[in-house]
Amino acid sequence: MSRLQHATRQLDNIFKHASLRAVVSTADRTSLLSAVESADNVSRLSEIDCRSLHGRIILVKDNICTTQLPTTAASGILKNFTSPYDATVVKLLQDAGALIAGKTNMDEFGMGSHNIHSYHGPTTMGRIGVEERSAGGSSGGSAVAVATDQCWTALGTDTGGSVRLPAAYTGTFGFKPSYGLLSRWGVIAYANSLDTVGILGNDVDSIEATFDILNVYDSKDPTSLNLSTRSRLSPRKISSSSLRIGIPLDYNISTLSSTVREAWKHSLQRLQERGHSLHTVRLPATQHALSAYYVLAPAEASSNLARYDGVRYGSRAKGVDGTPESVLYAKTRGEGFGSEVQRRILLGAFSLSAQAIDNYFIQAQQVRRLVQQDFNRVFQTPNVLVDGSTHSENEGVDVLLCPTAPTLAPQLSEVENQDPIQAYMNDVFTVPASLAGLPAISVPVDIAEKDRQPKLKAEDVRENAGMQIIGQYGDDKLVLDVARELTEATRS
Amino acid sequence: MVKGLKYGRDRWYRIQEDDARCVVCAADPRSEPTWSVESLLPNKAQSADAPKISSKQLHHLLRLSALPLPETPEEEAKMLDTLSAQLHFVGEIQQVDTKDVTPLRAIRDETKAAEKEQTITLETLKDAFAQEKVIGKHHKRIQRDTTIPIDASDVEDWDVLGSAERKVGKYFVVDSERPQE
Repeated sequence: MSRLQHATRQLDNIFKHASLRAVVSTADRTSLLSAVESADNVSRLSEIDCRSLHGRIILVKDNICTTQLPTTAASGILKNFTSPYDATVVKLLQDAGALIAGKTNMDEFGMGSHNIHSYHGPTTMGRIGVEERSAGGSSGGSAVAVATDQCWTALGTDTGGSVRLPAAYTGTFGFKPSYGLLSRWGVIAYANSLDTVGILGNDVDSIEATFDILNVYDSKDPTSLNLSTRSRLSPRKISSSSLRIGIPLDYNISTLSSTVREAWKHSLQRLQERGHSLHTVRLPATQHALSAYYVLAPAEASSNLARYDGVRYGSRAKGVDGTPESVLYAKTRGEGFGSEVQRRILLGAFSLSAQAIDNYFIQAQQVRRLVQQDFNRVFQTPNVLVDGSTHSENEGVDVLLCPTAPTLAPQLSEVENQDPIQAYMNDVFTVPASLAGLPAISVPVDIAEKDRQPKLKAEDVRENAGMQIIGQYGDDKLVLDVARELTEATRS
Repeated sequence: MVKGLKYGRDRWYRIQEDDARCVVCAADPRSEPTWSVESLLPNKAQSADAPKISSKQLHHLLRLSALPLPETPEEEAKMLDTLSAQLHFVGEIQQVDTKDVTPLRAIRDETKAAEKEQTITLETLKDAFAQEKVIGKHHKRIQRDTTIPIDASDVEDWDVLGSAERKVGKYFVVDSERPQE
């Protein structure tokens, strides 16, 4: 099938699935298709390289700046905002010949786990007529767009699991690269020490092709990993036929659903059958990771979001900006920010306040170090970012395999009236890799026959649970390779 | 289930060959879960030890955040409840012994080699110094050599007011009733 045929079908799907609210703004269809057509002609002349991005339709999360389309971050405060510049990742995709067809829905500024906190309304996952399930957050729009074939790949952002969780809920692949590999320039900051651009797709190959284009140093992003450190990363792929796969026992929590636990067990068995060895490991700091994350992320958010005052850009409340009773810009911020964003700003202001900073913020950064040390202790590859992290017994594991989320996608009605803190618990398995900046991918694995829902089964809808592969810092290629291996192992 | 496994050093296990059948027991539904996330949630009995935030503190935090104050006592009570539940949830980290642990502030290259590479020396600034000249006799000072062209078009061409909703001429507008302090 030609790229034009793929593109036409995908653009049709954007229109067809509009009610799922995965996409919040779209580029002009006619000019997109004519661009694909000319890319098609060029690639037909030469050998068609399936890895090339020429003429590929890509959707971009709405917190990544684009000059051609608005960038709202799903917030009322940016509802009319169009960026005067393109994010580096957008520019790289365009330079590689990809076409940005639209922007995807999300939780406001990336804060949420079900994509319900959006100025544009919630994204829903509806695989059959009556179904309304959580798409996961915060990159829920990108995940649903990939799941319903509205694009080839989609960009998301992952701060504490925002690419992996929606991928797990929607049955797609969601990859969060090592922190610092992909440029954040032009990506609206939520928690800058954790924010990572991620990629969602229907297979590992498309994700890897997109990743290869984006994985370059950017002098505009001060947190971009510099060239000299990049040169020290191992270009490791699967080298031996037998991998050492770690099973982190601390991911076996009491509320892990039996369906997900079965899928986990099944994945491990299949990998063992293919000659890989399994090793249980302990990551004791996992139990504190979630709390540490919910100190650090809101604290950084309260600082990053201080810039929204409606003066230089963004929307402004009508009337007087400041009265003797209210602090300047409070009205604009109260009207522009949604409730979850306001809750997290307030929590962040508390953790950074003089009375709390030592017990909360600094303590959380220390717990973050313990999480990193836990991972360094179990991986065979040393962490290039720190001195002396070589594994003493030289018997560490190559990657870890664990579930991405404790349950399958919940009903939207269940989560809409949920206590805010209940939603935080969905991030328990994704947050540790974020804190340590490690590469991780969520891979859809079919659930057991007995666990399938009759209604979905009748309509032949595949149901899967997200399995997460976590690697040492910089082992991104290995993580992608193991994802391929797991997919083959569980589908055969 | 974990019985058949040997404790290794460094807090991780190694599975013996004999335990091959037991290899996935960690993920076996019958095996004991290691912990419960729900332990982070405040329960009724524990609510006493949750940090108390006063109304005055809440108002102070809202001011620091440039967010509006609650309009009704009910709204304020709800805000206090949420904040206190959040603080219980995150307060769990205080039980962790972090003595002598260096905080992890950012994911970056922390090796000695990287520190050395990134250290700014006279050599690093050689080009910048080459663009300066020393002027003056009694009071010597440095001045940039203005004959060397500098391209600053990316900042000079920036339409600063381009994205502002309210402006007058070349000024942003901020309308405040607050008396000057």
